[in-house]
Amino acid sequence: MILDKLKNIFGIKNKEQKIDDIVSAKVIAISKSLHKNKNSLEKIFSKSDDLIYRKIYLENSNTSLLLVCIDGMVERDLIADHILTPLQLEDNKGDITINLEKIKEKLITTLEVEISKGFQQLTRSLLSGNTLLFIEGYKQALMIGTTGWEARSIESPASEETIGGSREGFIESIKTNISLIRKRIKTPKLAVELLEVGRKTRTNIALVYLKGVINHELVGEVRNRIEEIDTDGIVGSSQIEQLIENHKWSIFPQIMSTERVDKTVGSILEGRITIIVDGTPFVLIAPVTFATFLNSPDDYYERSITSSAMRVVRYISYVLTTTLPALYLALTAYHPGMIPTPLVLTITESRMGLPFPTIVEVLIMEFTLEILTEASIRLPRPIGQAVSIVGGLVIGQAAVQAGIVSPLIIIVVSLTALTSFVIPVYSFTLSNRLIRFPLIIMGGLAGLYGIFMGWIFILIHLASIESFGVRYLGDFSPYKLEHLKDTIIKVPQGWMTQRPEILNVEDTKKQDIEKARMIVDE
Amino acid sequence: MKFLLSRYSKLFLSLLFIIIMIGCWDYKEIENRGYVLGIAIDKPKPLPKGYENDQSYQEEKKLERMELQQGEPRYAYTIQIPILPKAQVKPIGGGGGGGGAESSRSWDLTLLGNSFFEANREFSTRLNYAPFYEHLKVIIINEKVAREGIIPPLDMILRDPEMRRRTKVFVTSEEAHKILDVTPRIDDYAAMYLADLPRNATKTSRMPHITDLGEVAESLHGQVDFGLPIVISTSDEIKIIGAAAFKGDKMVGRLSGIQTIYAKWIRDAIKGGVIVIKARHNPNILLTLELKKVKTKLRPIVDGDNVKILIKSKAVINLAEESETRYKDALKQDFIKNIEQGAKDEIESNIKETIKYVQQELGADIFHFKVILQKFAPKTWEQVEDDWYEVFRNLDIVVDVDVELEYIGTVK
Repeated sequence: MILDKLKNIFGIKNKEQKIDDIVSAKVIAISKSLHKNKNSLEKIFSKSDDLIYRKIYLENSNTSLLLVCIDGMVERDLIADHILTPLQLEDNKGDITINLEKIKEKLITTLEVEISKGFQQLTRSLLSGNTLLFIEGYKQALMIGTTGWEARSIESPASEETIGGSREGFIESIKTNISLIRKRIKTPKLAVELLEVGRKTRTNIALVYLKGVINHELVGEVRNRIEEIDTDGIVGSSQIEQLIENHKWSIFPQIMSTERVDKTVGSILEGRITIIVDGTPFVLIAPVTFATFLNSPDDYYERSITSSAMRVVRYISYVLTTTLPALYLALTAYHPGMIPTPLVLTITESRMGLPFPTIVEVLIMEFTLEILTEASIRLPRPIGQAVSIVGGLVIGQAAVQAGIVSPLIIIVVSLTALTSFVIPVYSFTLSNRLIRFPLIIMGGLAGLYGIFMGWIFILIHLASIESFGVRYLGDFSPYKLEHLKDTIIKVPQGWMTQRPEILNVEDTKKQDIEKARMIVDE
Repeated sequence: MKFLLSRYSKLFLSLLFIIIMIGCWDYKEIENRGYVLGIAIDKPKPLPKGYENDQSYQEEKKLERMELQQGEPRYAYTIQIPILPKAQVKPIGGGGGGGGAESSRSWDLTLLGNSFFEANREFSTRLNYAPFYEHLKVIIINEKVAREGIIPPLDMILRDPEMRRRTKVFVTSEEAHKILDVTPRIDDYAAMYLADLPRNATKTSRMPHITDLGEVAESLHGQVDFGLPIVISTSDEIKIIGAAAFKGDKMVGRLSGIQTIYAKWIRDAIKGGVIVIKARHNPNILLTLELKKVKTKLRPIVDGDNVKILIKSKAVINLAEESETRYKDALKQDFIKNIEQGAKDEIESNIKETIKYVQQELGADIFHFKVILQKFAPKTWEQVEDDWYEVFRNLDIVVDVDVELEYIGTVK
């Protein structure tokens, strides 16, 4: 119902329905008899005890009505104030007739009312939280928009905190999420295409993009891929992500998922497409490149020099978090000549008499780190802190004192842990935590040579994958100075006049440098 | 799927090959290496008098002898390995876990042999940590060995991949291993203490600081003469006292500390230092001058068959000390000119004396006049090439030093 409304607003045609459970309702026609209709519904919704059937008899006009809704999905006040009360008041006026038209046009005071003839539409409407009103003697029924279920209020995005950004994060409701975007982009060019996915869940999905800016082939491609999904259900946006991405065996995410509204709006303005999935606060952004995963919204809220410095820190952290343990292993076991003499003696001293070879030590501690990270996510917040203290301090200290590992390895491992949290996108952090282990093995087997072999493999892979036609390393290769404006460094805002070339957008101009200059001159 | 399989199996195979074929190549735990910090090369020494019947001394010496495949031992090689305490629980913030400062923190092993490589491998019969030379800091050569030529004992060190250019080379008139046996007051190891000494070249020019093994190798291969620092020691101290001049690979003589200043001056190697002159108006007054910047250029002056070397130098100095305070004159041009002239005279005469000493006593071209001729007067060089050392002994030198006094440090 609301869906149809929204579709009407944006002039988007309804897509042909996929085979699903509701189709079985198609054959049943609405009967003039309330009793029969009730039976039909009970048949369709067998064993659904949360359906509310409310029979109403209006004495003066001698009309029987049947009101059906699902408990918990409707706003009870809305039904009482805008359906039941007006009907009773009208009836109390005395000797009048009440017919379907009158109810629809005059008596029902909610925003959305529509007439339906088939059970298929009624069923879907009912499941979306609307209220059905059958009237004795009519082969039609009213669908009244009374949707109102419990939703979380808009909060600060927990997984992506920033210092300078807006405090609004997406929530589970698709309507709210779309409104959050529309609030910030006030142009009729902002397109919101609605789709449904999932034979059983019938999850609403919205594609949000800027018409006239985005590459329309991209929209077509994303739409096609989503429409081709034929699955029982979608419970989170990452399922959509996995179903539509190019390279299923890659450990690198090819679609960004974010809770942040400002990040999403920025991406839409750059000419990317946004996929909002009902029931999850994580919105998908495509296409993305390697560099976008190392950008934080905070970069755009700070001055270009400071945020460029932070970007450099982030890139170095990326290298450290993936390679530092492997590097430590390779340098100590194969190339101790490359470490300054005092340090080599310190490391040697700290390793004297330890039972495990360095490679085992590194693997044990890295594994422990992964356990700790995983445990601290699972555990409730107060206990989680206790675990990190126990893990970080007690286990580390105890392991050193017990002579199982060397103190240096604790430094190395905690540095890798710290640097991994510098990377702003969690799914990207995960994939890079995974890279660490093969690199440790390679470093342990062949020293620096092994690490470089490992990185060459990773680079070959990175260069070979793409996200919706945009190469993953597109910012860096083929090399063009223009492309680096918003990667390792961030040039001043006034210089970013063009949308990223690799996105192949229709309207490349983002702002006018002359105008930006004029403001500066004044 | 088949395509995937074949593609991934190829990837897997190539990874497998990388792993198998390198086979952990020289994986060695960091604590299982014996980090050689210093090498000392001596002549083998007969037993000292009075020790012939000392049982423990004999026992000790027994380990130093090795069965040689050829010939008699020509050198006594000593390597220094740090003694690292076993990892132990140290109280937080407590620093080192005690340990006596009286006991040496290094282990010096001596072997008598005639090939360093052979001796190096023989060390592994005494040492469970195989010697590892990438952290070699110093090589100390006994003067007697140096006078016989340093190429034979250093050949392996010059060519082995484990050796590093940065290793410093020193000469000593004492037994070289005694330098390694020094227990430094602050540092843990004599080798690291000694290796850091030439870094003070910005403070004094009395020691040659270009003493890297790489420089020695370049000089040896380029067939130019060179100088190396001479050290002496007590039980807990090492001192650089001057330079040893090498002709070819053989040491021919020494330069004192002050001569070293002027030898470095000619080589344009002054990084700082001090000269003391007498005031011109009153020889009882001493002026101490700090060398700020010294730039020396050598050029040949060819006049027919006659060759001279022009030493043109510009020095910027500060007035560091003056034994008679005359601050009221300090800003007068006369005063400044006077000091500049005095310094110029002193430096020029000292340079000339140093050259004369080297020409007559040592006969080693440590100033690289040869290189200057090769570069700027190649035709003349061809003429004198065959009897170069004879020409060098009688080479005329023109010295022109320009001194500029920069800071006088006046306080009113």
